[in-house]
Amino acid sequence: VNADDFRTLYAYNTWANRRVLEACRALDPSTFSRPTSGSFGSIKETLSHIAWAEWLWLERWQHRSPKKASLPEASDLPSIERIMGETARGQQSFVAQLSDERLSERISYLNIKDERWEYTLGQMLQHVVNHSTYHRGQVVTLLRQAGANAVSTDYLLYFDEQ
Amino acid sequence: MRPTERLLDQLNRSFGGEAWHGPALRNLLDGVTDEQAKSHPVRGAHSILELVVHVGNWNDAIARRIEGTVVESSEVDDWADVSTIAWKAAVEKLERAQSRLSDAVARLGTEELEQPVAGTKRSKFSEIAGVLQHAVYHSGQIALLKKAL
Repeated sequence: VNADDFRTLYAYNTWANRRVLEACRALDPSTFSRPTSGSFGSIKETLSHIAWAEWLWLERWQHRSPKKASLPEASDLPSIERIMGETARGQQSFVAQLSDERLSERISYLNIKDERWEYTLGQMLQHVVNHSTYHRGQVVTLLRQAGANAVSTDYLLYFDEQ
Repeated sequence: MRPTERLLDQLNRSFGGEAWHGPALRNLLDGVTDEQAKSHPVRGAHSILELVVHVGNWNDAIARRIEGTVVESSEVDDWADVSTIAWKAAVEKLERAQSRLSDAVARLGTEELEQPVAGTKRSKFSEIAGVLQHAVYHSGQIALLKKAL
């Protein structure tokens, strides 16, 4: 895994998020916000969780440790799309300047509970894509349950579409 | 950490180790009964058994591709008929596929990662990154199904 591989992974992540957001536009707002599947949250909550995590980690890569109060508003689909769009642009310019050497750089940050953690930039970059992929799988299942069109965000499909 | 070690670390963490994105796949399957695995708690969605067989079949196919065998996507049993597959057997098959995949990646040299996979234009790195994202994606779905049981 080198800097180029992360540029590819982030282009994939942006593409997959966009496909999921497009599928969500077809839902009516009440379906989008309705809690589903037992104790599991709504499509909106799962998507805002993805959006906030990506936003937060982009800040941490740049040596900032925002607190919960600074999280951008994600109360509906347009605001979630806005966060994801701005974060994707930030991620793209961050990985565009990434070098292989920087992947081993250790970055220390305070999480939202004010605990100090430290990881390499490479670990953080991989973590964010995995986290978003994990929860995108859930959003797609919830979309299917809501009767919306299933959307594929498969990595290999992404390659075929390029 | 060499690039292949980093990929291997990701594969191991996402399957049975300390994943950061959520529970690792193998850990999610602990305590799931045969009956639960076969049920469809979310309307229109696959069962846990179907997802485990699906991930196992793809992990095995990608492991064979990394080993140098040409495996066409059409040869892979994408969504298998699971009516005759026992839950325990499906989990064991997934474990074997994961182990084969890790072994295949461990044997790769750094320079081989950018070389194409037999029969495709994709690099070995893309194939491994792809199968990792695939398993993580379905792990999220299994976690959701467990909550819906």
